[in-house]
Amino acid sequence: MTDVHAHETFRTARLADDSTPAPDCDECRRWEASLASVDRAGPALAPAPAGDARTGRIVTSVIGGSSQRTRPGPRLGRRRAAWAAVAAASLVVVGALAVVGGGNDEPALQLVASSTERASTASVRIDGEARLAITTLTIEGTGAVDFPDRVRLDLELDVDNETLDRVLPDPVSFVSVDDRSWLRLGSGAWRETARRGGDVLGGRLDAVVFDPASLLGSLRAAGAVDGPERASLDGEPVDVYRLTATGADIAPHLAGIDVPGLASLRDSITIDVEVSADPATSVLRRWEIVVAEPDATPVLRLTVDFDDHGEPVDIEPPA
Amino acid sequence: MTDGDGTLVRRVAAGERAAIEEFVRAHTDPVWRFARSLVGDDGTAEELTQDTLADAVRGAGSFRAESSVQTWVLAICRRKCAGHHRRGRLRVVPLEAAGAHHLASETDATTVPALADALDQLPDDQREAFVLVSVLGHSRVDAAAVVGVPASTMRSRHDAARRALADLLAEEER
Repeated sequence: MTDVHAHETFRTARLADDSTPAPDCDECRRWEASLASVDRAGPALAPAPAGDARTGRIVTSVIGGSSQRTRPGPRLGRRRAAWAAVAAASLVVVGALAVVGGGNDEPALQLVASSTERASTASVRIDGEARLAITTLTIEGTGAVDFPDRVRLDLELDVDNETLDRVLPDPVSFVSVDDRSWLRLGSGAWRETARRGGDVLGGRLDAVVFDPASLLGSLRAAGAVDGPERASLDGEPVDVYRLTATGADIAPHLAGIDVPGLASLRDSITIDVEVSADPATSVLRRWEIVVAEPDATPVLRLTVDFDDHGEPVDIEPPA
Repeated sequence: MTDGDGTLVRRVAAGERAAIEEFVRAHTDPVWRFARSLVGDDGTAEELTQDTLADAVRGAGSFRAESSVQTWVLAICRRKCAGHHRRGRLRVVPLEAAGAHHLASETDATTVPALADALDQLPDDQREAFVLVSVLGHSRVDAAAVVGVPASTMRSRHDAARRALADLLAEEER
C-alpha cells in the first residue's frame, strides 16, 4: 500500500479500535509497532511514589499552614476580587488594542466574511476560560457577544470556584452609529474610540472575535509580531502569532481608555500576547495574554478560547 | 465520590486536624505524581503538591460533589502547575531524573527515553492528556474532569498524542 490516504485511514481506525489489523504495508506495520511501544512504555514514565519522608514533610507543611488559614478570610477575598478586576482589565486591554489600533495589514490571512456580512448574522458565543497565574487564584468565565447594531460583551467570572457576582458591574459596551463608535467600561463614561477604515461595525470588538488580521495589525503597532507558527490546539491545526511588548509599548495605544488597575503596572510589566487562528478560515481560536514582572515572574495569565462561532445566543438587553 | 470521601471532606472543612492529616496523606501521592510528571524537578513538584493540598484544605468548604475528591484535587494541582510554568514550558523530565521505577522489558529500556523525548515535543494539551491517561492511568472521563473539558475533547487530545508519539517513534526508527 503506497497511498498516503490509506496510511491515514488505517492510523485513524487503529487509534479508535485496537483490534484494527494493519494492512499488508511495511509503513503501517512499523507505525503499528510504534503505537504499541507508546502504549506499553507510557506507564514507565510515571514518577516514583512520593515516599514516606516526602509525604511526612508535605503533611507537616499543610497542617502547619492550614491551622492558621483553614478558611479564606476577608483579606483573601478582597485579593481575589482585586485580581479578578485585573483579569477583567486585561481582557479589556486586548479588546482595546483591537479597538484603537485599527490596522488590517495581514495579507496572508483571508477574512471569513466582511463586517457587513457579519452584521447580518445575529450573534456569536464565546466560551472563555481565564487562568490567573498567581499563587492561588484561578479565574474561569463565560461570555457572550452580540453583534446586530450594538456590540456588547457580557462576562461572568469565577475565581477558585467562587463566583464573583458583578465583577464587571456593567458590561463592557461598544456602540456603533454610522461611522462613529464608542466604548464604555463598566458604568463609566462613554468614550469615542479612535478608528481607521470603514468598518461599519465601528467598535471593533468584532476584530477580537472574528478577525485575527485586524487584531494582529493592532498588535504590530505595539511591537514586532512573530509568526505564523503552525501548532495544534485541541488536536486541530492553528497558526500562532506572538507579541512581546512592555507596558510602555502598550500604553500609547490605550490613550483615552481607562483600564482599571493598569496604571500602576504600566511602567514595569511586560506583556506577551499569543493569538491562535484557524489556518483555513482565519477564525480566531484563542488568545492568551501573560503579564509578567521585570524578573519574568508571571503575575497574570488570561486565556480565552473561542468556540461555536455563528451559534445564536440569548443576551439580556441592557436596562 | 464515596460517602467516606464526603464525610472526610466535611470534617476537613470543619477544621478537624485529624481529618486534615488523613486527607493530605490520602492525596499526597497522586498529586505528587501528577505534579512530578509535569514539572522539572522534585523540589518544585513537592512545593506544588504542598500548595495544592493546602488550597484543597482551605477550599474544602466550597467543594461541590460534582466530581470525585481526587479529580477535584488534581484539577487544583493542574492549575498550580500551569501557573508555575509559562505556557509551553511544561515538560516530562528525563527518565533518570524522574526516577522511573519499573521498566517492563529490555525494549522499554530504549523506548522509554525516546518516548520521554517525543512527549516533550507535543503541545501542552496533548502532553497533559497523555500524562493523565497513559502515564498515570486515569480514565479519559476522569482526565477530562481534571482538565475541565468534555470527554470527547480529552479523547481527541489523547488520540492525537498517541498518534503523534507513534509518528515520532516510527520516524526515529527509519
